[in-house]
Amino acid sequence: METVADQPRVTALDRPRRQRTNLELATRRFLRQRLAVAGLVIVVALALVSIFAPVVAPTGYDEADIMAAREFPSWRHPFGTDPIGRDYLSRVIYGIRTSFVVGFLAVLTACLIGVPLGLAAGLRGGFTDFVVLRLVEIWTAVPPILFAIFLLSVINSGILGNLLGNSVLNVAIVIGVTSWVGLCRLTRAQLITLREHEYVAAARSLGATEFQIAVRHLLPNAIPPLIVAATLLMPAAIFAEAGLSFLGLAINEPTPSLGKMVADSRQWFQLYWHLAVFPTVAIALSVLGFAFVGDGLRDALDPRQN
Amino acid sequence: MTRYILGRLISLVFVLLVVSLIAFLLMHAIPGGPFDVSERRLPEATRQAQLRKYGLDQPIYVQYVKYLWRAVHGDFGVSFQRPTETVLGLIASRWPATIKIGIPTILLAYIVGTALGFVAAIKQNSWIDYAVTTVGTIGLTIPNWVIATWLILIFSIRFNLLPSGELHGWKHYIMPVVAYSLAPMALVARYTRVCMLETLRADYVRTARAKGLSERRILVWHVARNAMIPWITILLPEIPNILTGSIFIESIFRIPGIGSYFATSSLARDYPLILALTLLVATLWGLTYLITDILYTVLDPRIRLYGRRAGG
Repeated sequence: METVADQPRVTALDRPRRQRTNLELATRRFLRQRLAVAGLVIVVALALVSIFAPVVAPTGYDEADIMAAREFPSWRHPFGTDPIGRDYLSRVIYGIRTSFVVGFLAVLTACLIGVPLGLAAGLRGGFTDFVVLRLVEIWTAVPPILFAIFLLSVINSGILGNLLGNSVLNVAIVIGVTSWVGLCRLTRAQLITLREHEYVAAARSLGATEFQIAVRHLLPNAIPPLIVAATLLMPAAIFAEAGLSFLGLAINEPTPSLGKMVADSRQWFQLYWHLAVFPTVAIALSVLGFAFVGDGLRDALDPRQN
Repeated sequence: MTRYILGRLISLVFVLLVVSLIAFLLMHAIPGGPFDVSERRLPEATRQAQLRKYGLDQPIYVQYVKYLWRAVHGDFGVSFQRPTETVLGLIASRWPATIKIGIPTILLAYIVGTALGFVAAIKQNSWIDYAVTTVGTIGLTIPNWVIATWLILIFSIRFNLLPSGELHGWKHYIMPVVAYSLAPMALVARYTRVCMLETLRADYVRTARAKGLSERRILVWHVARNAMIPWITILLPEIPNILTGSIFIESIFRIPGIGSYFATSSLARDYPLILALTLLVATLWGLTYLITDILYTVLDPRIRLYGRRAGG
């Protein structure tokens, strides 16, 4: 029975309303979180600074003016100068650049190892799954930082030859190799749930090959959580690079690395506080920026968690 | 119960055997040996003599069996880096410092972390909750040596309140313990919060409310006790990590602990030291898991340990 009260509701439903896409909804959910937005601002700012480092930095990272060594911050040198007279602001800017490059390449390496392995394990099951899972277990058992130290020692001792010849690339790949496990497990778990869906059966009955199903149907659906995991790997990779450089194992002079700068500042910081403050703040901002963005993305892309 | 614990301890011995075998094989499978590390390249004859001295010229299985035989007799060999000291002596002289930092760290991290997580869960979505979550992210993402550097700059250099190195009096413990405990504290707070929130939604909590129990009694007897079960699985395994020290904290505060050995021994291919440290870590892990399983039964009577008859 129709009543008058029902009328407006019916018209409201009939009125054409633009459907919001998932992306729009996710963007709105992301922008509603203050910390995530703050993180995004930090990350974008630091990324721009590191991309345009040659333009932004007052000097090159390796231009020393020994007469101006260990100066405190001033108008000429906003972050002061280091013990051999290099402009510290420029060193910090290029240090951020190193962090970002290492972080990005490390995450890329981790994705290139973890995602295909996870895909293979999740799709093929059986023996492939068994092998991948054992591999994951072995990797989980070893603390990543120790594993990375060990790999770097093998590379640095020159036994493998100076494989890549470039300390930045070496470090990035070592960090990537030690941190793909999470992505692999996530991809596998995603595929195991996704492959039971009806549209997979439909695609299969239409004659799609396993590869097509994996790439066209399963992977796109598995991507949002993978983006979150990859974003959260960024701070971990930057953290790892800074730590390894702090121990003197990763980035070599003259390439600036924030971790190495903090380690080098230790013999001076009774007097020259600026040598320790700026690189540590830069490290903290980089890792926090990515961590906040990652947490925000998780809430935005995976509403089920709330 | 005694029988169960004994069984688990025996299986721990087997685990140690397997772990030592894997570590042994891995060490030898990786290119490079203790006497061809680049910074001290030796003449070939000397290198051979050194290899013979430490028995490294023999087949691996002979080396392994010999190692085991000596290890069973309490001889874990001599460190290659410091040939004058036995591995056991080296660990015995340095581990106490690590433990002296580790135990206050564990206490601080677990007590404060649990309290923060507890409060955040009870006042979900309040400002306290947001503060705890945010501080948790900060604690987990900023490296502890960055925090340690800030602490030293502020309390030691700027205000000259606390000493920044070595361990002499209680004041020397404050900064290393605080810096070291922030990350585990954040982890504990985060998991306590999640475990508590899950339990707060359980049916038996609603039942308890319906029975008219006081909120305090519900929180302590029904929620906290059940929330402890997942909490234990995730958080107890952090303890061996803390007790084996942090190379960063120990190097910043000049604490003579074993944390740095984990890095230096693998850098120098100090086989005996690597093996001993690996076994130490494996033992700590094994014991932690055993304690975890025992605590389970205390907290949740539904869980029975293997080898015990039902109802027994």
